[in-house]
Amino acid sequence: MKRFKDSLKERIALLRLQQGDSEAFGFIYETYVRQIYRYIYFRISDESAAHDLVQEVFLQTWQYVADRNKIDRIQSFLYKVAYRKVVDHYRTRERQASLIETIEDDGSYAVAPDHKELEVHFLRQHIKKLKQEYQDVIVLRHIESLSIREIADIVGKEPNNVRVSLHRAMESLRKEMESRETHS
Amino acid sequence: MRSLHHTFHQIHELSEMNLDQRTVMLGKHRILAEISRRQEARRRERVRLGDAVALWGLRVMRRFIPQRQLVFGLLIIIMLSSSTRFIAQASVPGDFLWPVKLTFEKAEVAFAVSSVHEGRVHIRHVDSRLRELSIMVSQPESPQKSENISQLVRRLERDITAASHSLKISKEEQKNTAPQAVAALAKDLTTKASEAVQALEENKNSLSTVEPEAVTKSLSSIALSTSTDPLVLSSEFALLGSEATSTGENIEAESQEEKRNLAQVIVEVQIVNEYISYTALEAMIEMVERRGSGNRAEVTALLQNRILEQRGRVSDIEKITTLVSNDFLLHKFQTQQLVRDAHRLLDTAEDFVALDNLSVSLAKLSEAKNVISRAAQLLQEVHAAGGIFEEEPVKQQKSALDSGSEVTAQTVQHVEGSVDASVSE
Repeated sequence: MKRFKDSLKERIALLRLQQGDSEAFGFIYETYVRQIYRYIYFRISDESAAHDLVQEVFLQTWQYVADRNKIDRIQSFLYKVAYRKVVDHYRTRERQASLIETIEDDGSYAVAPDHKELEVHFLRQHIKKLKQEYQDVIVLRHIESLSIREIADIVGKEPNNVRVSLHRAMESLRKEMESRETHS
Repeated sequence: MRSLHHTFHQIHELSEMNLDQRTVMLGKHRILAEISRRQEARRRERVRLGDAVALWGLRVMRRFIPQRQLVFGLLIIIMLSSSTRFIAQASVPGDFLWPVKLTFEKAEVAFAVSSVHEGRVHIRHVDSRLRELSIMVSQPESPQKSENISQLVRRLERDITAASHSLKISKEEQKNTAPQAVAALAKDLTTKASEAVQALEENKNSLSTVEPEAVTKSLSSIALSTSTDPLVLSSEFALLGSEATSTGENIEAESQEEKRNLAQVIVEVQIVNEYISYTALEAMIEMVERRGSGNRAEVTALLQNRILEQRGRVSDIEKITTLVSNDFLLHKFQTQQLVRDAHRLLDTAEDFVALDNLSVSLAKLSEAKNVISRAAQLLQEVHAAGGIFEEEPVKQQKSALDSGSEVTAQTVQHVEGSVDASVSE
């Protein structure tokens, strides 16, 4: 019931946004900014750049609506824009390798991390070693909890292809984790 | 696998993955401020409806507006052509722009919408030639002058012939053309041809020093080309026999000539009569009688003049008949008979003029014309067979031809006498 109510609110906000109501956009921002930030930050591992990209994602969305373009589902649209921003970010600045390196180098914490943080840290390291395509589907599916259909819409592929990619991505991640454990 | 999912879920709980409320609100205000700024900028940039329409209009019109260079080029071409034409108007033969002027004239003729209009264009060109002639005559003597004048005279001849041709065509098309327009054209052509003849006659001395034969030839040519219309007969006859015409006063001058080319007179009478058609006169008579318009007295005078001219031709034929050898008695007799018929018809025509019945008078005049043509044809045959004594001057008839009005009766008597004498022989 709560989900339906949220969905209705989101729908009304989108309609008001399409009428040019900036307050409605504030509501949408508050609703989705955390998810978008988490996705971007997880993918680029740079807090400052993540904040900038989040601002760009929301501004681009507003511009899209202000240009009288229609949006059916605001959440999918925001993720789609964020996905492209991340791709552009890696493509233009070529930071992928350096970031992975940074994370690897940054393996030791200044203060001793607890077990939970350590697990997450290693998981991120393993994910970062995967192909970009696998990283995207794993993050969107298992961290952002989006459906296969929504992921397919965001990355611009067929749902079946996304399923296959996700399966292969998980296999790769598992192998990566096992090999690390064996190595250690 | 289960632990992997658990680890994924733990990511949500990491502090670095979550934004605190303050950061969210700060980001929200920042982005709303940016949106507000952009909205304001869009509002300023937004084009009003009127401006949008004007812009659209400009965009569309820009496609139709030719390039500046093209417009300038066209303007220059137009200015050059119009100024060239204007300058060429003042040119005379020998000038380098005279051919340009003739080209423009050709173009004018090409754009004429009807034969009447074409005739008018030709008349305008004749006028232009006459102006050029007056300029050329007043020019100082130069080696090129004679050549240029002969070129001009040839051109004048061509223009008058062309005008006459256009008149002939417009007569044939008369069913589709207003007879008044044809009559007016004929009248204008007559006037212009008279002016041309007058100009050539006036300047004959200066022209003859250049090329006398060419000028004489041109006079004859102009006469023949304009002889298709009765309105120009007076000038035509004055030309055809520039030394020998048939009207009263000229007969005397003619008879004083030592020699006279009889064949020429015969052929001329025959050709001229064949060329003559009284269409324009008929149109004028129709206007006078049926519509009551026009000057009746003028038309009557014109008709009388035509009758008088035919009488002159009959007199010519009559005189030449007296010179026919007795070896051609049959021809002689037939010619005399035709001459008598012609006189009778002309008398009838005069009677109808007196009765104020101009159309019947014109019909009689046309019949007389045909009879005279036949007589001239007979004489031509006799002359071709050498049956005319060219040695005998016309002086024998001089006394009989003294007076124009008494020509007919006296000549008829004389001819009859000659025929009787021949028969008795």
